[in-house]
Amino acid sequence: MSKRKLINKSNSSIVLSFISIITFVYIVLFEFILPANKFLPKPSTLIEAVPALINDYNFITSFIYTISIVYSVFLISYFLIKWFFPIIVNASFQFKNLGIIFNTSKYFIPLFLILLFEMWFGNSIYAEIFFVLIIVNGFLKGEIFQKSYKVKEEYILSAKSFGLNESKLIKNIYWKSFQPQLFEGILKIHFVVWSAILIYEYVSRANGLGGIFYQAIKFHDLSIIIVMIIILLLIFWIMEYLMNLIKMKFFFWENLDE
Amino acid sequence: MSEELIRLINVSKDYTDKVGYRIHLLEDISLSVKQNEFVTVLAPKGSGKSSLLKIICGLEKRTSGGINSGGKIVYIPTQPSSFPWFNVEQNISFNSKFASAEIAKIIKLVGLNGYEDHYPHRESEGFRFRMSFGRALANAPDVIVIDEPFNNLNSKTREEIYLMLRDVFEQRKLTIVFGTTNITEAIFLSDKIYLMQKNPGKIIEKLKVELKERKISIMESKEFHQSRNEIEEIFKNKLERALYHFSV
Repeated sequence: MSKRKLINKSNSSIVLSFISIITFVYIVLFEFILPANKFLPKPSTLIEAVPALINDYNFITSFIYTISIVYSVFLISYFLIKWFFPIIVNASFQFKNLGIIFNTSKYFIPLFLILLFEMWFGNSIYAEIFFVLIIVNGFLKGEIFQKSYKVKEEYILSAKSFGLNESKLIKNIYWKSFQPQLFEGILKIHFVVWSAILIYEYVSRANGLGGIFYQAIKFHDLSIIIVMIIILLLIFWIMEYLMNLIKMKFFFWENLDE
Repeated sequence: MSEELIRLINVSKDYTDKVGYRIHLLEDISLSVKQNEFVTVLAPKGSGKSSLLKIICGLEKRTSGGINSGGKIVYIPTQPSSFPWFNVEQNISFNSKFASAEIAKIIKLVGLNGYEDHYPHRESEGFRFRMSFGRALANAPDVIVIDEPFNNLNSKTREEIYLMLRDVFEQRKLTIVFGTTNITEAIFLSDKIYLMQKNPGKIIEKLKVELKERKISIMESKEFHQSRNEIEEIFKNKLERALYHFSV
């Protein structure tokens, strides 16, 4: 087993143990010792909150709304990058330092965009899709700008010696070398995208999962907020796991960072 | 008489390093490669051998001197360059105009039949070299340039690959330019060896190798030891310090 897999495995068991301990402490403390308090609801109240979340807060519709935006944008971004890859990679040779700007702005640009988009478009699904597209594309382009010089010289030289022209070189060597890196980039920005979209939906009171948070806070419904956090963590963890599986199956070769 | 495929006339290469020093890497290199010849450039590490091979392939620029070369020259770099996103069959047929039957023949020739759907990242360096070599063959080259491919191989794999390489070379009547630091390898594989010094990289001697047969056992023979001693002597006399950079 590789060192990386061993580290991942031990990390997973640490996280699982931590979650089990926290859950146990929470159940004992808030179900039996401090059932009535201002801070956290009883665990049994959380279970009772699930039907309310589905019926009163339209969880299923909101869930489909947000999740389809997040993952369809990932898919669209991947194909956009693929179509424009020759232009992007050529630009990266000319303006290598632009990658640092793309990369360092990945956290604060979304926050500015949320405010601007809320002012300009308010609650609009198209605005939401466009907002996520900008974040994902900006980050992935940053990855290309920063790492295009890391494509192995051995691949480039041997391909050149076969007489490949520039467009074939970009398609067969650069694009292939970048595929695992781009997927790794999507995994890296996964959390940022989820956070940004929830904040966007919260601020614009949109129909998605962020909108449920807005409603729950408006009605001081702490149980719904806790249940939502648990569900979101679960969704995030499952999707991350599935995306890792896809990467291992279809983009198994080395990243440019390795 | 065999046709001359490559001729280098007084090729030199200078470059400026990261600190700003002007480095004189190659000086007045002249060599020739004829059709169906296995030519080796035997040189210590850091002598500019890889740059010389890239210059031959047109992948690196020279500062001065002339090159006459005809035909397609395919390059196999130091690290086996098999593409990790392709399996054996896809790697070997990459950019090839050959029909699938011919590709299958090449796969067999390099000893990879039965492994067509294997990917290189799970295989050994020797396996990956076979893939790179197969891909070079499938591109129908006039000359194959191979740059130090066996550095990380164990002795058994090395010997197997020496035999395969020499066998395919003879069967297919190839022309190969080979770069190495290994004297044994150079003698066993080559018809002609150019000995090169370092600082600056310069050809100091040209030797012809005439072995009765190309079997591993010949490496223990008297004539083989004589050839090896001869090369060591040349380096000792002309370039004492360089010897320490060689592997035997």
